[in-house]
Amino acid sequence: MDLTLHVWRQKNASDKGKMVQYQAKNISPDCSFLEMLDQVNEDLIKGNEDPISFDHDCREGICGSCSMVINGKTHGGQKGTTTCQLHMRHFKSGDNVYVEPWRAKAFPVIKDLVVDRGPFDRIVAAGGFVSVNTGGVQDANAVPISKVQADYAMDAAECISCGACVASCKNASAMLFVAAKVSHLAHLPQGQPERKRRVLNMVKQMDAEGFGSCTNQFECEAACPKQISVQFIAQMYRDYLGASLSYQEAEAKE
Amino acid sequence: MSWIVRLMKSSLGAKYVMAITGLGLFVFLIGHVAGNLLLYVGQSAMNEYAVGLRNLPYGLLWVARIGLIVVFGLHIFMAYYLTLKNKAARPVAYHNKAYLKASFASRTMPMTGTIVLLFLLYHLAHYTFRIVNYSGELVDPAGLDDVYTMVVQGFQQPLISMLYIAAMLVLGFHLQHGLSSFTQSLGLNHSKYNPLLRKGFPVIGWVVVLAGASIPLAVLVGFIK
Amino acid sequence: MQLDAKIPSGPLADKWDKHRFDMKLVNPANRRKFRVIVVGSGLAGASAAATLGEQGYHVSCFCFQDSPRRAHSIAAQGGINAAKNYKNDGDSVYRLFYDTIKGGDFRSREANVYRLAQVSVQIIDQCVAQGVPFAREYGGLLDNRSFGGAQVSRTFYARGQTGQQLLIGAYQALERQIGLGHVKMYPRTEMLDLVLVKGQARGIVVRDLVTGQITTHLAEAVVLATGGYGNVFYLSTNAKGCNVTATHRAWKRGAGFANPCFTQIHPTCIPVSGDYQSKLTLMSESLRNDGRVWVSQKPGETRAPNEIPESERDYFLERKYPSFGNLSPRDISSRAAKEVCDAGRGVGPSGKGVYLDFRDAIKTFGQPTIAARYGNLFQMYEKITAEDPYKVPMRIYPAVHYTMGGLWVDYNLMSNIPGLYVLGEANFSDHGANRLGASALMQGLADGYFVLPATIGDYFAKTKFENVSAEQAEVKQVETEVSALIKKLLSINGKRTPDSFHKQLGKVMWEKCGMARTKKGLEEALVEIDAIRQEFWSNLKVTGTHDNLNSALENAGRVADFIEHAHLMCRDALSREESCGGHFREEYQTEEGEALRDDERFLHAAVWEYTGQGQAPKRHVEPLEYENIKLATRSYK
Ligand SMILES: Cc1cc2nc3c(=O)[nH]c(=O)nc-3n(C[C@H](O)[C@H](O)[C@H](O)COP(=O)(O)OP(=O)(O)OC[C@H]3O[C@@H](n4cnc5c(N)ncnc54)[C@H](O)[C@@H]3O)c2cc1C
Ligand code: HEM
Ligand code: HEM
Ligand code: SF4
Ligand code: F3S
Ligand code: FES
Repeated sequence: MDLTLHVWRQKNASDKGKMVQYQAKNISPDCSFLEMLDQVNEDLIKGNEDPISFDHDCREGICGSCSMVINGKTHGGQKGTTTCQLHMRHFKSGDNVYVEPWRAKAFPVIKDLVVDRGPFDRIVAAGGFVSVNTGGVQDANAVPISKVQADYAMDAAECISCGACVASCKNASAMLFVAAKVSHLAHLPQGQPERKRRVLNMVKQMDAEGFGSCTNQFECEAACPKQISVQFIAQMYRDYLGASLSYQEAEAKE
Repeated sequence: MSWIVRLMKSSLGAKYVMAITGLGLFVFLIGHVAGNLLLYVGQSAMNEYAVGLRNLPYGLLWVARIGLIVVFGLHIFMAYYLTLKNKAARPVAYHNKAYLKASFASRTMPMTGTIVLLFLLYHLAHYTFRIVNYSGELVDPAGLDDVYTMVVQGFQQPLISMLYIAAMLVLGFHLQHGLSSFTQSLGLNHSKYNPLLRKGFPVIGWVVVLAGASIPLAVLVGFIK
Repeated sequence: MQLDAKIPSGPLADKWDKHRFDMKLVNPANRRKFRVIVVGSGLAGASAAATLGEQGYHVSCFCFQDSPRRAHSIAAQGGINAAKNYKNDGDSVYRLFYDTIKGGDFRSREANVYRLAQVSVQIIDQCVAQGVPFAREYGGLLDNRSFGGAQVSRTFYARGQTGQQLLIGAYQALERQIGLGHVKMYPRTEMLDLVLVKGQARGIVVRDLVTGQITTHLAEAVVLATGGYGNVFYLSTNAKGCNVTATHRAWKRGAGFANPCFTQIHPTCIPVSGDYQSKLTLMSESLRNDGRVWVSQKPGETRAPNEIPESERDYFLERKYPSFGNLSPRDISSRAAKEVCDAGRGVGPSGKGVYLDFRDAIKTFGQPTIAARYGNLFQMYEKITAEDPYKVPMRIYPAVHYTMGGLWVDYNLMSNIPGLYVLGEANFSDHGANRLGASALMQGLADGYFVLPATIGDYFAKTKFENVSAEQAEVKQVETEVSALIKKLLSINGKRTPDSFHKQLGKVMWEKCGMARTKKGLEEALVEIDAIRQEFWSNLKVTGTHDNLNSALENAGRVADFIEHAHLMCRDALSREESCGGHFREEYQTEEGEALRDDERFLHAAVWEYTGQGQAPKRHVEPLEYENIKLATRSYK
């Protein structure tokens, strides 16, 4: 099939950037969206042009690198699918396809479709961990954890940090990501000692990064390739309120 | 107390305020519409109620009014604070954004809220301060301030009743999202109760709003004279 | 080249304890003075960086992805082994040790493997303490499953995302250290060379992938945890970014490369569907528990699978290996599939595939049961192929999956270059000629959490370090060479893209250094690779600039190293005149077509030394001594 692509090209963070039109010719319906872009890039290089930069690595929907808004939908909008798992059979020959990077103040564009998702790492560094050093821990079976709790923690922990929640949310809010991180540890006994401090510090960092706030649109849940539930956002609302009202330590980490 | 400031300034803190004030406004609305439904009962019932409210002992009226002003003020202030912040969080718009799940009502909250605000300003000028479309002192046979006739006369003007009906529908939209959203903001989300929380409250919202809208409609079609 | 494995003396079970006692320690107050560079943030790198940070060392960690959490370890599905014996089914440290040695076809070091089995127990404790949500039973205790090559249930898992969850655990520990200022993280930064001063590893030269800036980072020790080189085949189950650059360039600086030809081919992957294909997707091995593998008896079959009657089907695994059948080990199943495809009986558009059929299982257990067992895998398959495996048999084909070879290391995980440590898939240490399922994750974490943090202090305590500055001639020299290489890649200005060379190289490697190898094929491959190399350096085209994010440039550098490394692999395969594990030389097989080991001549690790551009590398050997295990032949008949 042949497609007309409109791709966001931006040389670097300070460039203004614009949509540029390309033709993708002879695309097999069985190839993935990224493989389609690979082919366009091969042609660009041969034509002496700079290839389109995009983040990718695993190409099987687990690393969370790939990140494109395709025709206005993050990862192309197929349920539970990352861009690398999106196949061209969902398009028709002759289609116009618009490809843009994640757009959020907190995720500045680095080049073309590549954005800086560093804020996610910093949010985790602010508290998304259990403060245990290596060694000296008790036996893995010393504390039983109900299967329901473990499964629930796993539901949250499946997040791949792709950022589609931010990109799809009208407010560019990172609530779903942060809530997934907070809830993962909040549902395990190992996460309890630091539970209050964790949610306070992570939300603080989230706010400092310039994400929008949540207005309960639930778009993120629909856009999330791992279908992380907004139930975790409710969990975070509860935890944050509880922690704000009761946390004792003089100040949450400044 | 710095933690309260911190809480209020955080994005989640602002949401608690939105939810609690929004809920407070809804409770007021229920009472207000219920009171106004006395128009169906008759002139004396309506007027006795209205005047009764004004004559509440211990200045309770003013306590309630100040409470109401604070709640409205917080709700409106936070709404615009968050809306501006959220706009700033996406400086460059998408070429052609498509939505998978976010409802129309949820995406237009600032818009519907603003319309309700404008309506409210008009509404206060109309019936509370009586500076627009007010035909002068009305007194009922019992010697009470004739709120009944004021309202009926007001709504007999088609333009005004249409405005009220439209405003109530817009408020309905605002509440359709607002009343399912506040539960989430307060952390109420459980798969067992979600159908009730997410559908039930908005239904109550529509009942209240439509009941309110029925009043100008009833006057317009001549059911209430 | 000095190859002293430094295996501690004493009984196998006491070696690690004894060694830890014998090693010197660094006073906690002094640790901050020692700088450690960790390249890689996969399971091995992240766990090492986090633990060294906790211990108080001055750590810098590098990865080429935008976040340390995206390292290729994230993709591991199946699980992680540990000798916990929670199932009370006869498991023990010794059994895990034995299974790993046997699985590796007796080509790994006893002492290392035994330590791995010992440490495995601590890994699970550590991960649970970090909040890794392993699967649990209703009673609240950890669940286990069994995995290929073992008769006990010792595999811990977190749905189909074990690697992800383990990596998130290590990543969180790492981020904690970053937040505390103990570790400095450099994402989107690629190591391009190793800096040696007076024979010691003292730093690395890196390129900032966003700005293109070339800088040197200095330290008292360098740790490479840069993963495997399966992508030398172009198509593999590895992530697109996996590469050999770090280890290859360390090799060129003098580190020994051990057993480069030992690669693992996984039997159940989704077959290649066209030229555009950029990677292959693994389908969990567990599918073979219920699926039956078959092809038509007749070459050139054109009928749809459902139209082929039972009598004309060849269930070749069940036929050839009646007792293990569809559950035969990875290398054996892979070769059998290749055999039928080579005979023209392969299925699918390319003829490179065999059916994995669930018809009988659905008939016996019903669709709901099969859906409960494999639903998510079936879904994944359908997403990729648009075929419904409940109705049409799946098509599968073997694909490159893991590389057992890697930089040579001693018992302390130090290479032959003092101060250069190698962890995880990047080293050669524990899996011999074939890796058992669920053992790579175990090794990566053992290396990073427990082994390196114990052994590195000994080196610091015993070594004298001179002051080194980035301006020093021998340091500057490396930086200059790296810049020159980049300039060269950009200036050839020929006609072909880096990817086109990579694909060409991959085809040669897959055909001639893949599942089955011959002397003739390998010799041809060496010639063909030379030709590719020559054309690469005269006809490559890289657009864009050096001072910007430039995927073509990154790729070109990696492909250049893959070409060199492919050459080394073929050489190694040629010189290993036996069949063992993943290395199958057609000349060396039994009458039934099984691998024929030659313990007389090849009971050793082959370690290659770089001797200069264009010169033949030198082969050294580290003999393997088996004091505790009797060598035996693997049989799955
Ligand atoms: C599909 C799949 C499934 C698997 N399933 C299992 C399983 O179920 N159980 C199991 O035990 N094993 C499994 N494995 C194998 C296992 O995942 C890997 O062997 C293991 O994760 C390797 O970990 P590592 O830390 O050594 O390297 P990696 O995780 O590959 O990390 C390499 C790191 O090095 C960095 N890096 C590389 N080169 C450079 C450079 N030049 N400069 C800077 N940084 C660099 C990368 O950024 C990355 O951070 C699987 C493998 C695959 C492909
Ligand atoms: C169609 C429906 C409505 C009718 C018939 C109605 C009627 C009235 C009347 C008659 C008064 C004056 C009472 C008096 O002065 O004694 C009043 C006051 C008021 N109304 Fe409404 N109203 C309606 C809808 C609303 C809505 C939707 C809101 C809020 C969003 C609202 C908010 C108020 C407020 C804040 C006052 C002032 C109360 C006070 O004096 O303290 N009304 N309304
Ligand atoms: C007067 C002008 C008003 C404005 C400008 C306004 C604006 C908004 C906005 C922007 C929101 C969404 C904010 C968010 O969810 O984070 C909101 C939520 C809400 N509003 Fe209003 N609103 C107004 C009046 C009202 C009235 C009169 C009511 C009730 C009768 C009401 C009830 C609610 C409720 C229940 C919510 C949901 C809170 C939540 O999400 O938790 N609002 N409002
Ligand atoms: S919550 Fe979902 S959309 Fe958001 S980062 Fe995680 S996986 Fe991506
Ligand atoms: S879409 Fe946005 S508004 Fe909240 S529920 Fe999701 S973050
Ligand atoms: S490339 Fe890894 S999730 Fe898409």
